[in-house]
Amino acid sequence: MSTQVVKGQKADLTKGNPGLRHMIAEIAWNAPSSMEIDASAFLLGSEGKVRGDDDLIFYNNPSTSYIRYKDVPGQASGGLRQFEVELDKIPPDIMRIAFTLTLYDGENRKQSFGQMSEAHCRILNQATGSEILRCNLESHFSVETAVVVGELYRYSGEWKFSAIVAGFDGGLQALCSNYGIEVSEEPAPASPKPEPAERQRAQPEAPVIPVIQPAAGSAAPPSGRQEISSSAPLNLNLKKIELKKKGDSINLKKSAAGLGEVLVNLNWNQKQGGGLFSRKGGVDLDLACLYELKSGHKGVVQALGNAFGHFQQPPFVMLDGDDRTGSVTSGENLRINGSKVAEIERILIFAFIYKGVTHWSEADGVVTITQGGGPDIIVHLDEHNNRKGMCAIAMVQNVGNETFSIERLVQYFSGHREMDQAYGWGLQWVAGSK
Amino acid sequence: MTISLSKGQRIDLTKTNPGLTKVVVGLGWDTNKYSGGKDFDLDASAFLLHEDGKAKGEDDFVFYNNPSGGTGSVTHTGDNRTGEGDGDDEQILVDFSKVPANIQRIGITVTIYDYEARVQNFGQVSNAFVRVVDASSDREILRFDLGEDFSTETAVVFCEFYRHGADWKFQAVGSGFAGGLSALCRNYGLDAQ
Repeated sequence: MSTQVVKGQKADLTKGNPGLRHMIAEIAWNAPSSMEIDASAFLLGSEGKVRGDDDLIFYNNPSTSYIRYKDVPGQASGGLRQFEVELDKIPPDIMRIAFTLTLYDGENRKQSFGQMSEAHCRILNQATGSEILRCNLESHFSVETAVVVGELYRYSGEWKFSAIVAGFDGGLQALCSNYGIEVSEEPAPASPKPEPAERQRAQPEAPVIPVIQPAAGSAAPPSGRQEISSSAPLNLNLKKIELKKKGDSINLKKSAAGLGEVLVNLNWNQKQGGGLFSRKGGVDLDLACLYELKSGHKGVVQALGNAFGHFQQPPFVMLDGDDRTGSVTSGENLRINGSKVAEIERILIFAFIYKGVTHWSEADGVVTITQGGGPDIIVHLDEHNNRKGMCAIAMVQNVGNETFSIERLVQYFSGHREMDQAYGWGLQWVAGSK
Repeated sequence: MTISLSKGQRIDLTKTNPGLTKVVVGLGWDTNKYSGGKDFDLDASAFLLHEDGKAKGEDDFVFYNNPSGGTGSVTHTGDNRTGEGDGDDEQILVDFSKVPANIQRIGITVTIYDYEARVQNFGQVSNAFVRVVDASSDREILRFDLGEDFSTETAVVFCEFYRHGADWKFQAVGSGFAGGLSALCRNYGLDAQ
C-alpha cells in the first residue's frame, strides 16, 4: 500500500517491506518547454558530503554499481526520471542518497521551480512495480533553481525516506556546495584544461592529460545542453589527475624509444593494525591480470597457483613480488613489457582479496600505472562492494600495435569465473592456493 | 560529567545532586536552511501540572506571551525567533525550591509557530536536544538528544520534571503531537485560541 508523505515527513522503506531490495525513485513534473530541468542523485557519506566527483549520478555519469539514472521518454510537457537503486549493494559508507532537481541557467532566464507544476516523487518496488510512497511537490517552491526532492537514508539498519522538498536559488552550484562538491565558476588556471580527444591524437607529442571526459559512446547529452554537459562535471575540482569515471580511457604516450616497461602498482592502506601499508592482519590484496596475446594464447598472471608470468617471454607480463626495481617500497607490482606491445592483444588488471574479511572500504586500494615519460595513471578502488572480493581495475588494450589504451573499470565480482565471463575471456577456472 | 539520557529514561535530579535548587533548561535544535522556505520559529513552553496532570490557569503555563509562572519559580528567558547560533536556542529557568506545592509535574515542550502557513514540521528539525544545567555552577547535569524520530509532528514534549517524595526527578519524554501549541494546551487541560 502506498503512503502519501508531505514535506518534511520521514517514512520507513525497508521496515514493513522486508523483501524490498531493488527500488526506483521516480521524479516527474510538468513545466514549460523552455525550462531545462535535470535530475541528479548525490551519494553521501556520514558527513552528508560526497566523497568525490563520482558520487554525483546524473545524465553524464549515469550509474555506479548500485544506482542507475534513467530518462524515461514520452512526457508531453515536462519530464520523468528514475533512479534504480539496489539497496543491498549500497556500500556501508554511503549513508544517504539525495534526489534532486536542478534548473539549467535559471537565474539568467528568470526561471525557477515556482513555474513547475504537477510534480511528484514516488518510490516504487522494482520487483513488483508497486508504489511504496508518493510525495507531491506542488506549491512548495518559489525562487528555487535547485531542489532536494528527498533523501534515502539509513536509520537503525533500515532504509528510510525523508521528503525534504526544499531547495536553493543558486542552482546546481548551490546544491553541490551543500553536498560538499566544490564547483569553480571558471577552471583554475593551474588545473589541467580538458582537451578534446581529437586534439590529443593530432598532437601525439603533447603530454596526455587524463582528465574526466565523457567516454566516446557514452550517452550524448541532450541537445541544447552542451554547455552544462561539458562544464558541470569538468568544473568539479579535481585534487589529482586521476582516471575517475568508469569507462574513461587514455592512450599511453608513445615515445621514439617505444613504450618500455609499464609498471602497475597496487597499494593499500591498512586502517586496522600496524599502520599504513602494514601487511600484518587485516586485508591481503593480490594484484593479478588476465592476458590475451595476439597468438590467441590466454591465461592469468597471479601469485595464486604460482603463475608469475614472464617479462621477456610470453605472456610478457610478470608479477614482481620482490620489488626488484627498488622504486616502489610496498604493495604489489605487475610489469608489462611495452616493447612487446605488438604481441599483446589485451590485459585485464584486477585485484582480489586473498585473505581477511572482504572489506575494500578499509583497504582503500590505489592502483598506479607508471610508464616512462608520461604522467602516472591513478585508479582508486573507491566504489566499494564489500561483498565481492574481486575488482577489475583496468583494461589495457593494444592500439595499432604501437601503444596501449588504458580504460578504468573498477567493477566488482565474486570471483575469477564471474569476471572472466563479464569480459569474455573464456578460461577454465579451478580452485587454487598460494 | 554530563549524563546522556535516552528516550523514556528517568533519573534523579535533586537526590543525586544535593543542594541543587535552580536549573537552566536549555533547548536547542537545527532547522534546514533552504531558499524560498519560511523561517522557522520554534517556541519553548513549560506546563505546570497539578495532581490530575492538568494545568489550571495562566500561572501554570509559561510561554512567549507569559514569561513567568508558578509564582515566579519557572521563567522563560526570551524568544529566539530564528534559532540561529550554537548552543541553547531557548532557555527556561526552574527554581525547584519555589515551585508551588500543588504542582506535581512540569512539562517542557517545543512547538513550531505558524506551522500551517509555513508548511513546517519537526521532520525538518534536526539535532534537537534538552540539557539541564545547575544554575549556581553552570555545570551541565544531563542531556537528552531527541534523535530523528519526528516527522509530521508540530509539537514535541521534550522532557518532564516531576516530584518524587521530597525530590525532583527528570524524565526524557520525546513525544510528538500534531496540532502545535494549541494541541499541547488541550492535552494539558488549557483552552487556547
